[in-house]
Amino acid sequence: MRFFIMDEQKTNIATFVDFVDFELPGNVFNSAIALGDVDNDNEIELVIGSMEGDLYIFKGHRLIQKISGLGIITAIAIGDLMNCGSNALIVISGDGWCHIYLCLKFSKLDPADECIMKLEPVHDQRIPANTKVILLGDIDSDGMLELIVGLTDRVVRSYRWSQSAAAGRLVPLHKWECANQIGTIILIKDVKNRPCLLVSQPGVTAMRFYCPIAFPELIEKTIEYEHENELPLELLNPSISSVMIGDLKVDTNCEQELFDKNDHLYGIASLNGLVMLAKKETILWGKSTDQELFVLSKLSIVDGGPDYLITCSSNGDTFIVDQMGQHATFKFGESVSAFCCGMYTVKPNTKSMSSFVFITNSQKVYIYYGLKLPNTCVQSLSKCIEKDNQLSKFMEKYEEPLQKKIIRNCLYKYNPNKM
Amino acid sequence: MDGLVQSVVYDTSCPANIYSATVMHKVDGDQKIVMIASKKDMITLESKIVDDKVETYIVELNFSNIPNNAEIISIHCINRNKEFDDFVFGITYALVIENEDPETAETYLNIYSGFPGSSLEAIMENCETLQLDFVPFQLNHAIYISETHKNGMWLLSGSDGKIHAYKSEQQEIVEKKIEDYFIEFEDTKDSIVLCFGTKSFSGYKKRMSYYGCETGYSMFSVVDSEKNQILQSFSERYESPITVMQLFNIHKKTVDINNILSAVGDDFKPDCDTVNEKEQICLLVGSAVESAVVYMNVLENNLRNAITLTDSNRHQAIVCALITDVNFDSKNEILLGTYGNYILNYVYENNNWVEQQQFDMRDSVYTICYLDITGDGVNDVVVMSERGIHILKRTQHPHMLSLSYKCVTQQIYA
Repeated sequence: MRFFIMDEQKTNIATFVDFVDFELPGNVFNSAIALGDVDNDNEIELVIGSMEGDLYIFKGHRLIQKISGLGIITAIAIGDLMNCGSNALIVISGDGWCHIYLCLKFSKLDPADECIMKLEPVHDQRIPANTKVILLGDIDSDGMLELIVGLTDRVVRSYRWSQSAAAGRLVPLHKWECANQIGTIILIKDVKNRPCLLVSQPGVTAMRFYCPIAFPELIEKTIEYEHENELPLELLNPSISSVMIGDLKVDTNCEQELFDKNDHLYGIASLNGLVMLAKKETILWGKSTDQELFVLSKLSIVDGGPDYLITCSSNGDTFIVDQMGQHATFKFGESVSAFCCGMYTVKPNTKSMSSFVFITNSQKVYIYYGLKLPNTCVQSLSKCIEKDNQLSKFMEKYEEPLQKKIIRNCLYKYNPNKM
Repeated sequence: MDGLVQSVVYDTSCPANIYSATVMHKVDGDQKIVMIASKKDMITLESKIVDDKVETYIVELNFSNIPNNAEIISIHCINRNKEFDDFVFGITYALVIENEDPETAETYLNIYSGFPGSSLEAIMENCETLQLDFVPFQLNHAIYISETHKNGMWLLSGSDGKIHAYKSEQQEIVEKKIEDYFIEFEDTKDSIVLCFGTKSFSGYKKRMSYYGCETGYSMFSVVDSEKNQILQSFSERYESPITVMQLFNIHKKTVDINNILSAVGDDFKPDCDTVNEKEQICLLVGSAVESAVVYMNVLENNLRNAITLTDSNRHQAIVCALITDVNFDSKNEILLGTYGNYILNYVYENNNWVEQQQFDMRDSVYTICYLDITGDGVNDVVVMSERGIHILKRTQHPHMLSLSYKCVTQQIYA
């Protein structure tokens, strides 16, 4: 494993320019933001729930729906929980209410009308209070999504949607208890391709759980990472919480044989500024930033490319780290209370774009879209010439200072309109 | 501005002012930029190739004789020699003492020079200093003719509403009477001059001079350089401080496609102290509140034929301008940097200046330069903003390729 300390001098700085912003009165928990296709029109919306009980749905450049009176919203998820082929919105409040919304009117939005009611409540249910994190995933390999929630009292619970003729409801499946406070829950595949839950624990450790019905022989385990002792000890403080992100799309162009396409990579970030990439029970590399990293996410910035680890600190500094541990920094410049990233549809009927969503302490939401990384988007002219067979042969005939003069003459002294 | 992307950004904390960048034009065509990065750091950009990728990084420059508590105000450099590099740097700064009124700070002018061929390191060590009794603004140079010889002079505008002239004589900076050399700068209506400059023509026999003041007063004149006599003088009054004035030709000197290779041999170097009077000469004036104006063909029409750059005042004050060919059409475009975060781009089409696209920088723009920092022959746009230094690079090189194909085929058939 390799350990890097961030070198301020060599930092690549990303600047993102395009953004939309919205007013958002109220405070937001980090699990209460979600990007997803909530109305099943193949366009991606942003859903935010506030501690004041208001739920906001943004689409493109506007707010399309606001639902009020939901209690302290602590977690939101978008996915096909009912396993019916269309996405549902799951909103969980701190006092133990789980609300499920569906888009029943399937129609394209008319741009003329403001704020029409699109999502309708289909189900409300009482579940144990104090949900902190939420995950939709298939933990038993049956092809159906289950709902997994992590509570502030160190308990992880799973539910399945059960539909009967009259009504449906969430049926509790399992309950696991963790040794310590829960950071995040991710779903990964183990060596034998069995799904398992990883729950991040303070001090860069994790608990692993399997679905006891599908895999009764596998028991829960606390993962102490290998190579951990190579990390500076002061960074592994057992009282420092950590977060994880799973299921990274592997960078197949990666030249070093660090991992192959079938690896299930996941990232870990700790509140004292450590970012790590892990595989199975091994940390591949770690990187120290001196920021309080409170959230870790993933994003494929280049269309169809590998996933980058995106981590954000409360002062707004956002780190974009590739799977080799190289990083770029985006300075948002304002303190942030919640962050998420993913694809977002900015204009109707266009492709969704990779986006960063910042929620500030000044009660605003900023969505930066069309993200481009520094230095990755520019091809130097010499590379251009090298790739062109005829051209490089032509240039080879001239010596270095002459080459430069020819290029300058071609670019700046030649009038293309005067052939 | 099409095809330009922000490729690198450096955070250099403290904002600079509009006089904080200068470009060294070397004899061999290479260029180097020197910038005031924060209040007391001078930097340049250098490049090296790492894993086939060009990596640009900041190198600090240590100009001697600048105390620690100095705040650098303006910088300017010239190449005195046409055959060998012989750079001279001028730097103005104020000594700021804590808890003291910055108005009363001591101000200085430092001039750094070497011999033809001296390295930058040697030049930075060889310094002459002069204390000033005003707050310096723009530092510039101008060429005058004495006994048929070309001579250079440092010109510095100041808070006392005057333009001062300086010359290095026997290791000492001496102030000269401006009216003896540049009669057109004698009377500046007691207003602070924010921008000024001269361009020579007719083989340095004549020059055009201009200045723009904080009060909105601007002057343009044609001067006989040999007699130091004003031939024509025009003035214009604007409602707000004038931040930008530049004289330029629209069309650049071009070569025929067939002569591209042979033109490499001819040693024509564009002289930034002159304009070509055989082409029409334009004067750009930008101010804090109004839209920028281009006076067309100033030698014939004087200031009568003005074209307003429509809507160029929509992003707050115009702070800086760059006139260059960024889209390779051999015509110069106007780039305006605004306080409201945008760079605006105007092109000359059908006898009018038309806005093309705007470029969002997210921070107030202070200076824009266009030079080859990587040394591969392609110019990049270097912008200094409130945040730091931004490098905008080309994503494609449009007719370099198509053109060179033609050269290649010609070579084959020849």
